[in-house]
Amino acid sequence: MQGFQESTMAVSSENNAARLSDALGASGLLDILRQMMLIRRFEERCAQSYQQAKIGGFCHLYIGQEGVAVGSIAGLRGDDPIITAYRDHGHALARGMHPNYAMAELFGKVTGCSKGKGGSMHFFDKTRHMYGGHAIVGGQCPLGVGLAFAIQYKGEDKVCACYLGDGALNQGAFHESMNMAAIWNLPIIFVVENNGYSMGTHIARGTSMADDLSVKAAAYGMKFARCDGMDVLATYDCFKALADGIRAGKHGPAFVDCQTYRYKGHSM
Amino acid sequence: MREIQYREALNEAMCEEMQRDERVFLIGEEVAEYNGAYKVSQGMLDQFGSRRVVDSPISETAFAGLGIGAAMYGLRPIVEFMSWSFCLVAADQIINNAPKMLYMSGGQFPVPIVFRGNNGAGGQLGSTHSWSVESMFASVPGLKMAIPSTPADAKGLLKTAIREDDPVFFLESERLLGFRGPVPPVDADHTIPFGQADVKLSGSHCTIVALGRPVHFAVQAAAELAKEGIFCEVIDPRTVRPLDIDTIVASVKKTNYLVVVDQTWPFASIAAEIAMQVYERAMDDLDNKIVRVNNDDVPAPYNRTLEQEMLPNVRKICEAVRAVTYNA
Repeated sequence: MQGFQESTMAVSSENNAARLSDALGASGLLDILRQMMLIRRFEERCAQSYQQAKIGGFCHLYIGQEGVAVGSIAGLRGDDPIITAYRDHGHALARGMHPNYAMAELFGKVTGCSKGKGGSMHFFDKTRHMYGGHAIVGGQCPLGVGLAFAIQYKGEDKVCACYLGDGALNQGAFHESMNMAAIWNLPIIFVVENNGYSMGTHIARGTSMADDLSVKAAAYGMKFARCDGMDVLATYDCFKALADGIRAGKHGPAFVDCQTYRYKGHSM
Repeated sequence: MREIQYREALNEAMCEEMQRDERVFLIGEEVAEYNGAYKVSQGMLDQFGSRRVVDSPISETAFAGLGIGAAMYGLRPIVEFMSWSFCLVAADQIINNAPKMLYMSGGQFPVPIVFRGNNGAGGQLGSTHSWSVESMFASVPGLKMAIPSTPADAKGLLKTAIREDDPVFFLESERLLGFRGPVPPVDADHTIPFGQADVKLSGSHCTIVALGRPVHFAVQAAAELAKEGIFCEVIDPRTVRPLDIDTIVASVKKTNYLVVVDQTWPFASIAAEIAMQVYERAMDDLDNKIVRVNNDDVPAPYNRTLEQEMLPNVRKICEAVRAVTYNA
C-alpha cells in the first residue's frame, strides 16, 4: 500500500517554469492541433450525415471536448490501453484511427472499425490499443480495472486510461473500480471528462461534492489531479506526468477531473 | 476408477489448467486465504500464490468486469461467484459485456472467461440465495453454458470451459459438492466436449431429460418406475448452450414420450425451450404431449417441506412419466 500517503496532490502545470509539453516541439504541437481540428471537422460531418439520416441510433458528438482526448492520449504511450464510454469518436481519432474507418462504422458498413456491428457508441481498435467505447454508464470502469490488472499480471510497464463522464461518478461500478484499483495498486488513470452535465442534469444536482471532486480520490487514498480540459497542453502535461509517475512506480493509480464542456447536446 | 468429490473434481480441473496455462487465474470472494467459501479452491493459494488466486472484495460488478477486461487483454480468468444468486448485481458485466464483446467489436476482442459457482437451491436459504439462473441467461447470444451433474462431468466440462474462447457460464450445485463419483486419473487430461449429452440410463418407454442436480432425481425416478414396468431413458444434456438436441430427438423417436425436468421456473424455462425444439423436429413421433417438471412458480421458500415440494423431485417426475405414458 505504499504510495498513497501523498493523496490528493494536485498536478499544476501553470506554475512550472518548464512544461513537459515544451518538449513536443513544433511538429508535435502541429500534430496536436491537427488532431483536434480533425475531430471537430469529423464531428461536424457526423452531424450533417445524421441529419441526412445516413447515420442512425444514438450519436454523441465530442465537439468542445477535443482537448481532453487529444491532450491526454498524447501524454500516454501509444501502446497504453485506453477504454471509454459512448462518446468515443474523439478517442478513436486521437489514437490515430483513420477517419474513413470511423465514418464507415457510423454508416453501418462492414469496412467500419467494428464491422458495422457496434455503431457510434462501440468503436474498437485492437491494433491501436483502444478497448472500446462502452454504452452503459460506468460499465467500462471494471473493464479498465481488468486491463490494468492484466498489465500488472504480465509485468508490463503500460498504464491504462479509463475515461468516464461526470455522470458515471454516481454509478456503483465506478466506486467498486476505484476501490479495487487502489487496494491492488493497479496502473490505471480514471479520467473524468467533466463537462458539467450527465445528459441534462447539472453535476451539482446529481453529484455530492461536485465542486471538489478530489474527495472522490481521497476516499480511496488515490492520487488526484485537476486539469483544464479546454487547454490541450495543460491536459498533456497532466497526463504525461501521471503516466510517467505510475510507470516509474512513483505513485499508484490516479483520478483526474478534466474540466471541459460540450458545445452540442447530449446526443444527436 | 478412483472416486472423488464433485468439489475435488472442480479443484483438480482448475489446478490442472492453471499448471498448463500461465494465463489462467482465479478471482472471487474468499477463494484464496479462506480456501473457498465451499472449499472448492482448497490449497490453490498455496500452490499458485496470490498473483493467480485472488481474493476479491465483495464487489461482484468490479471483479466480474475485471475478469472481462483481463480476458480482452489476453488472460483467461476464472471468476467464482460464491453463489450464482450474487451474480445479479453484476448483470451488466456478465450479460452486456462478456457475451457481446466479440460480436460488437467486429471480431476483435474475444472474451475467454469462465464464470462459475453454486446454482440452485442450496437448502433452506430462502428466495434471494436460491436462484437457478440458467433460463435467465441461456437466451443471451454469445455465451456457452454448462451444468455438470457428476464429479467426472464437473472436471471434464470445467477443463473444456477454461479452454473455450467464448464466455462460459458454469453452473455448479452446492448440494452436489460432497457427492462422490468415479473420475479418470489426474494425468488423463480428462475433458468433455460441449454439446454432447450423456445417456445416463437406456430405456424404451419414455425419455426423461434432466439437467444438474435433478439428473439424480430422474435416475431415482427411473428406478421407481422400472418396478412398475415403465423403462425410462434418462438423458443429461450437460450443456445448455450448445444443446445436444440430436441425442434428445433420437431418443424421443425411439420412446415416443418425453418428460423434461429442470430446476428453473416454468415460464420461459429451459424445459420449455427443449420441449419446443422437440416439437419442431419430432412432433409426429410423439404419442402424447410433452410434460415439464419445473420449480413451482413461486419464490423459493425457507420452510424445508415447502422447499422440497417446490423443487423438482422424484415424486413429481414419477407422476409426470405416468401421466404422459398412460396411453402407451
